Amino acid sequence: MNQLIQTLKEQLIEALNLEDITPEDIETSAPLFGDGLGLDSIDALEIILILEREYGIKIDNLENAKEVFYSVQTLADFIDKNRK
Amino acid sequence: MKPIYINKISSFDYTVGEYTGIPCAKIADPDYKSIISNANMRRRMSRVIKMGVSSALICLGNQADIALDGIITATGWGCLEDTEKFLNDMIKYDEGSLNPTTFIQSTFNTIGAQIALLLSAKAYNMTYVHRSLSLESALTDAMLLLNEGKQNVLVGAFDELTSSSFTTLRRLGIYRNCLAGEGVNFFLLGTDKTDTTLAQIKGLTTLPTGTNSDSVSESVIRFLSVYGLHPSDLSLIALGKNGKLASDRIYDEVISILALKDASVLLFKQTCGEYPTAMAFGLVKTVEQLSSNSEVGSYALLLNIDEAFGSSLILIQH
Amino acid sequence: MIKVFVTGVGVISAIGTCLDENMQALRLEKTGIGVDKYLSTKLQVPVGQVKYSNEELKSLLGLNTDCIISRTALLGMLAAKEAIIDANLEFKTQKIGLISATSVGGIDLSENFYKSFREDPNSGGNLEEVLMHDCSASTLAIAQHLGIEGFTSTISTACSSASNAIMLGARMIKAGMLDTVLVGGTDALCRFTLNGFNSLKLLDEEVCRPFDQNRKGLNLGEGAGFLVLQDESCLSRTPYCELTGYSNVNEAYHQAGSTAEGDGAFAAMTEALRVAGLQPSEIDYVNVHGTGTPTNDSSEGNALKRLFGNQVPAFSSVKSYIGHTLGASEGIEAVYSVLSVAKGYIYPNLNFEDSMVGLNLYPATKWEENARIKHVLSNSFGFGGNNSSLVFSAIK
Repeated sequence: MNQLIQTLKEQLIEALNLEDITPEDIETSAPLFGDGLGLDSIDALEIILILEREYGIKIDNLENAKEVFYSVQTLADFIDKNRK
Repeated sequence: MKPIYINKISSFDYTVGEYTGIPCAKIADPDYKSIISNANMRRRMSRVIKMGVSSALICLGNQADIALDGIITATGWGCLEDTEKFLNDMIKYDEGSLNPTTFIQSTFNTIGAQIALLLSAKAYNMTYVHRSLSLESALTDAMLLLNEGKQNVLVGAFDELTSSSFTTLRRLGIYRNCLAGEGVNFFLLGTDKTDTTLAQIKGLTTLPTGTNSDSVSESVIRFLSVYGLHPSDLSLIALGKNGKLASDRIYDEVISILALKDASVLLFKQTCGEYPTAMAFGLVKTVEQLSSNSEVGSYALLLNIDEAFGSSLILIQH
Repeated sequence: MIKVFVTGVGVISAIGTCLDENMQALRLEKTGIGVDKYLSTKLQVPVGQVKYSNEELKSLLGLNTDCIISRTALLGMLAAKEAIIDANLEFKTQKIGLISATSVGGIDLSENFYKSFREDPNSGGNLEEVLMHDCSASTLAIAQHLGIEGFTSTISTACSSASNAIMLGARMIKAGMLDTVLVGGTDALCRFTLNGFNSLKLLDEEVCRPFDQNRKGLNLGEGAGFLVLQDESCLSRTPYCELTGYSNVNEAYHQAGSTAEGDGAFAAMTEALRVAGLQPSEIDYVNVHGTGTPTNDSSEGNALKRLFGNQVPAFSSVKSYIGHTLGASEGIEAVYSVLSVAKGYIYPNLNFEDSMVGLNLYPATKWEENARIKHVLSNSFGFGGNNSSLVFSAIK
């Protein structure tokens, strides 16, 4: 799980061009959107692409998107449960 | 028409770049990070967007809180890098799930919009994409706005050379005898003279396609006469000569027909190379040279000839 | 004060290649949205495609079918030609300006070029397919086809492009810089924009449902629409109506989104009314932007409520007929708005069933003619917070 969290942080930094931010700077349980990392709806779409391309998880209609995309921790939990 | 003052300008230095061993004129990239300090906005910006936004911010300088009545941008090529990235992804992922960011950023009005976002500028926001007359359209619009009662308008022009655009345009023969270039320049225009005022734009006009030296000379004389001027009144003439044999010959013939007196000649494309909005760099250099070397009140004319698309004239007074 | 009159209109869209065909389909509630025939895209989404191939469009224009010319230019040439003929302007004898708009330019051709180019940059790809990549190429093609030698310009501000072209034309007439100008926009469907909107998850897999509670997104469309604007002193025929208001503002909120309250839409409509010298209560019909995306429609709906209170006039979106035609949308929809003023038409908003929760807004769903319409407001909102509105008014 820790490895997954570390990798996920690296993937987020790369996909979202988070300049000058290291995986250590991202708090695992802090909110990604709004006040947290300052991400927006376009970033959410970019994160969906990470799930699809890196973990083979296809998302069409996610009922509980808000909870899943809340933090790196919740995303990692979701990946762990659903990846192929 | 009210007088239009150029109250501030911004321009970047050039460096010699190269593609496949062929030299070209490239902007010496400044430290964009120190200019666009908002990291969250900067992270999505491609190079041309950083170029444009930086140039706008530098142009406004310590006046970033000025109430802008309009932001008008001009570009021939737009955001090529993002366009190409998205096209690449379309092929790579076979029209599957693609990154939306490059698509959004590929839009021609991205730079004008990003400037508005950074400055919270909610006024008029326009983008002209009219090849070698894009800047001229933007200036026309700015002059209209200022005559409609507005006071401060930011006008900018940008075009970025990329490896693919260079290769494509070289294959099309555009760079035969001609230096490939790129550039970004911004101007703060206003109806009021300020302590930073550099020059006044007296007027501009465009000429239709298929010009020859007689028709260009005639147009120059007619254009100047609107302002009560004669070619011999000019202190400076800036020419878009780019090394292409056909158009260079027209410039030379026009200069001899006009019988200029003591006007110095400025060839700006030797520095910035050829690109659609190169006239913006020509305007910067003309204003700089006129305001440092000539008496107050002296006139400069910019002439750019594009036989295939349309030529243009801009008259500047110190 | 110089007035600006509309004396010619021309339109091509998924519901017809000329004004009459468009009006007929609108009247019969016949949508033009359906399966793609010409794009060879992998995406299985409905589109508002013009029902002619490039070769057929060239034939309609009397061009050699072998010539390589972008679909964006072909569509623009057809609509612009209709507008010029409609306005009774003799070709090549009058000094006419042309201000066109497009969001994609000739990428419908260059996306083909790029496929081969990327494999071999030094010799891959047919160069003729990249010649028209830039936005101004379609403007130049229209000008040359119609023999227009006056002022030309091209605007590209995403989905509000054509509105801004119309606005510039009106301002130039008011400033006395032009007395006759052809204004509008053209955009062709292409894989680039289709994939772009797909990447944003904004495409509906069915025909779109503007302003409906259960709307899922937009359909992309293509086409072109042009108006001839003239100064009173040189009218070439009895005008359809007057262009009294226009505006362009920036929401300065997000590159691709709009505020929930519709700040930009509200500001654009307010400013257009101010220019026209009208009160909100004087507007009889609003041609809304109404793309069918969840955010656009709720934010535009909120702006309508803010502007009109509980007296929202008749309004509808034509996007469920023709799709969202991006840079051409306000060109086409301005033509519809002009006809609305001139003939009292109100266009049905197809596929509307349930009002958006909390907004209580009901678009017109039935075709009407001879409605009492003095002033029409027409909206178009684009990426980069670029929001524009136009007001067309009956001639006093």
